[in-house]
Amino acid sequence: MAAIPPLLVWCGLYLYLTRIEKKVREAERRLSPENGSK
Amino acid sequence: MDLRGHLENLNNALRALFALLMGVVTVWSFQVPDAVGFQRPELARIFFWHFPCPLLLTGLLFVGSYFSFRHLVRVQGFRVESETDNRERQLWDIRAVAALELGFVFCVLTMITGILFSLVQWGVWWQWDPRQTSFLLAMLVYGAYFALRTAFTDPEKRAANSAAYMLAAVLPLIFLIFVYPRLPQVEQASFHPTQSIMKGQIKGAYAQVVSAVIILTTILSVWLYRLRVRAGTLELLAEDYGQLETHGGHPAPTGVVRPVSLSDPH
Repeated sequence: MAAIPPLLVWCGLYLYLTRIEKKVREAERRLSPENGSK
Repeated sequence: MDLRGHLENLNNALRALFALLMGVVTVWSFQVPDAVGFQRPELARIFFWHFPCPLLLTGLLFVGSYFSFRHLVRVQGFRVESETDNRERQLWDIRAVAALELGFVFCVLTMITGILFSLVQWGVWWQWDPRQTSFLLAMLVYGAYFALRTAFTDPEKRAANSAAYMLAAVLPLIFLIFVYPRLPQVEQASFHPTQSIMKGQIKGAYAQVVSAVIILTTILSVWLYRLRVRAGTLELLAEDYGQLETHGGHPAPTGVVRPVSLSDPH
């Protein structure tokens, strides 16, 4: 039971990080020269 | 290897070092002796992970409200309207959302770790303790900010209305999180161990571990905030770029043709 809180905090923040990184990658893809951006 | 490659390697090394530190602090938190004065002393170390969350939540709430204020100052036309002002205004909104979104993550973590603490120390998940209930209300008021943002399709209206909401909500939130639970009659009715923190009973190894967790989560928060602002800024650029596209999905040609009035030669 005592192991749940650290796992929750680190995994929660890690999940949030992956969500933001996905957003960054998506925006970078839309802005990339291969996608027509200059 | 070029500079970009070196920077990427450095970034990966820093990430690995940070992950290692997280692991070390987590193991350390299990090495400290059990706390006294709790129903289940071995599980009182939930405190290490519960306590930093409301601290960071409060900090991010203030930062997000300040950014919302800066956004509104621009909207109210206190400065000369220009394209730069418009962009600056959008950036304040992105900063506010970045801080408040991360703050809400800590709000959820505070609630979940608090519920776990309640379960192991008081024997029930939820017992309508004044502290739990006021925090639940605060969480709902805070969550409404994100619900409000989804109600607007126009980015300008979304940013202005949500910034105004946050400025109106920040004082009730502070009241619910800090003032109400400390009212004498409420404090007496609550099981929350506020006194052990306020009277300096957290000391020695306990104070060191909780400080280490606060430092690590703060560093992580700054990093996440900066990354979220970068994501928002890139999304903004991508939206601006999307507006230049034709309906076929292809970018408009470089030379933009606009209708012009010609003077009649006769």
